[in-house]
Amino acid sequence: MKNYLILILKRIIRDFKSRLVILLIALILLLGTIVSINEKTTEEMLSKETYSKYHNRLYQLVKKESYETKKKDIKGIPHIITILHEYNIASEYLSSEEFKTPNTDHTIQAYTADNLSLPKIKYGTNFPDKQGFYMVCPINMYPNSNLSSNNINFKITNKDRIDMQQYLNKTIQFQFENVNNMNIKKESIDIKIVGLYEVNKHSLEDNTCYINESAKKYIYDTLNNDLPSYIEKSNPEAAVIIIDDIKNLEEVESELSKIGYRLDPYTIIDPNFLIETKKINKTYSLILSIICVFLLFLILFKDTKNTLKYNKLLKYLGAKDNHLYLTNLIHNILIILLAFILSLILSFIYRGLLNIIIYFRPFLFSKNEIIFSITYLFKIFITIFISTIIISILNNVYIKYKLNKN
Amino acid sequence: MNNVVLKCQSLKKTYKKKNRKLVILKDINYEFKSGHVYAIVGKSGAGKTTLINILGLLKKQDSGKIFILNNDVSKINENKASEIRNKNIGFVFQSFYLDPLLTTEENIKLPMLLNNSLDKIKINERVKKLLKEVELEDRETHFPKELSGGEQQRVAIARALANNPDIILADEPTGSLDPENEENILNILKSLAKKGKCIIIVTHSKTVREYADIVLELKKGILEEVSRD
Repeated sequence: MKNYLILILKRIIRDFKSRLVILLIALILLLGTIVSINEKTTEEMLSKETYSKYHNRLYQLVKKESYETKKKDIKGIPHIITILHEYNIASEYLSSEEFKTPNTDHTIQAYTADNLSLPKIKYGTNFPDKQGFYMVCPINMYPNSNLSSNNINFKITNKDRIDMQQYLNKTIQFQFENVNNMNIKKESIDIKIVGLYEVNKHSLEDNTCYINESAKKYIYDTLNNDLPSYIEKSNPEAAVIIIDDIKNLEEVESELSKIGYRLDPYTIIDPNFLIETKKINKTYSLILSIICVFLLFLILFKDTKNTLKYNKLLKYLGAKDNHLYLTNLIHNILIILLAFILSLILSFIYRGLLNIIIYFRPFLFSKNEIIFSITYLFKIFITIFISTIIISILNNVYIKYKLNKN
Repeated sequence: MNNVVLKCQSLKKTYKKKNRKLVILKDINYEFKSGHVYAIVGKSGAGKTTLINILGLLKKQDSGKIFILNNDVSKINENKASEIRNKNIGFVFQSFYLDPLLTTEENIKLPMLLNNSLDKIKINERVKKLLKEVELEDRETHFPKELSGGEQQRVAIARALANNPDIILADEPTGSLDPENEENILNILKSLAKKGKCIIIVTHSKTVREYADIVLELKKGILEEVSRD
């Protein structure tokens, strides 16, 4: 059987028509890849680089209620991991002499978080319950105030990274600037580093640390020391929520609307864009599948004359009927499989070329890489595969009729 | 040698054409023996190809019996007929009927692969032996289009012999060949008969008649021995 299968495979490879069919189907599948690249790359970039970032999962809770009332109202709604007062959202630039490296300004960006909204801690702990100023940092921190994602030539050099494990459970003195009437005054705060988190390769958070609300309150009060208390200084109603994942936004919005709340995103990126590309993709998938099936139908039935001739020869040589039908089926399945493999190769080449052209990045793997969905390709392939089996069975019935007629 | 390998008894075959009944084979009775070359002659439309197809178990007769190696194969099912065709009968055609996508070696292998009882080593040994027999050792990896007509027919003969059958059915095997190649092919067939095969050739060719041990004429649905001239 194995030798016979090899022979079928050889026949396919040597046959110009079969090669043409394989190439045609592979190109159609490649079209699927091209379409999926649009969605998948956008989805990956948005979810990993933008949406997954702390401050891009923030939404302002809009309703004329006090911050405290809002907190009580939304308790228990799934996917809302925390509720904060609006003033917490602005990041603070904190610098420290401890973090001096050759090419950086030894400054980090500090966001406010609570234990629910903190990234997953790899070393150390979350913020302790005990009163104090605490901080969570990246394991390999890059202490620079600017991490420009727009500059493609920007590269974080390893020699400027700091292994933060040496600072775990240590208290570091940070400086921040108090600009008052054009006078710049240096202020300082001692913060204990209690935990370290791993930065996602897409998230560009290598300079991002998280501080607890007490630390934020101290910095805020110091910067606005002419006012009595931080909560009264800001809008008493202003509240923001952090959700666990952008994918759950619709569900959260629907739950909140039931109790009269509306959400305003802090991010300028419209998640509807993603939904739209998905809709386009579904339409394309359907069209591609129909084209492939139609093409297969045409090719297999148009080639019946040759199949019939070959089947007749096999019959002369002593092939049983079942053997003939199995041969035809295997022949067609092998064509589809070869087309799929070829489309995968072409897809990887296409992606690699795009990576080079758009990002000047290494061929296959790089940050900001172009991504395509193998799952998407596989779904189209399954549709074509099932259609091939159905068409082959129909084709076999027709061939059987023709063979018996002769 | 000289054993009856193929016997037909009262074979009948009719076709229906536009409500008209056309009797092709009226009453065929004959015993084909091993070690002989038979030439079946007759006018076009006399039913020679129909007869060879029935003898090759590719078509069913309306009535009558066929015995292959003393076994009644008249009422066997399609699968059994395929098995007998694969093991006991070899076919040679005027147009060679080689698979253009397979090499000489692969074309010869095909019936053995369908048989599925031989391992790879034995198949390769058999192919080598057959290629030597038809003097095509140096054409092993050639595709049919790279071979001459005579060479293609020799490949077809080697393929027909792949599973060492007792009977070779040849439909106008020299019809597309020049006299020199015709003679070559007939010599091969003749030598096969000497080795104990039963060769049945449907032909119009005078040369084939001369080469045959026995000439049979199919006339008005009846098969009769006639002289070679």
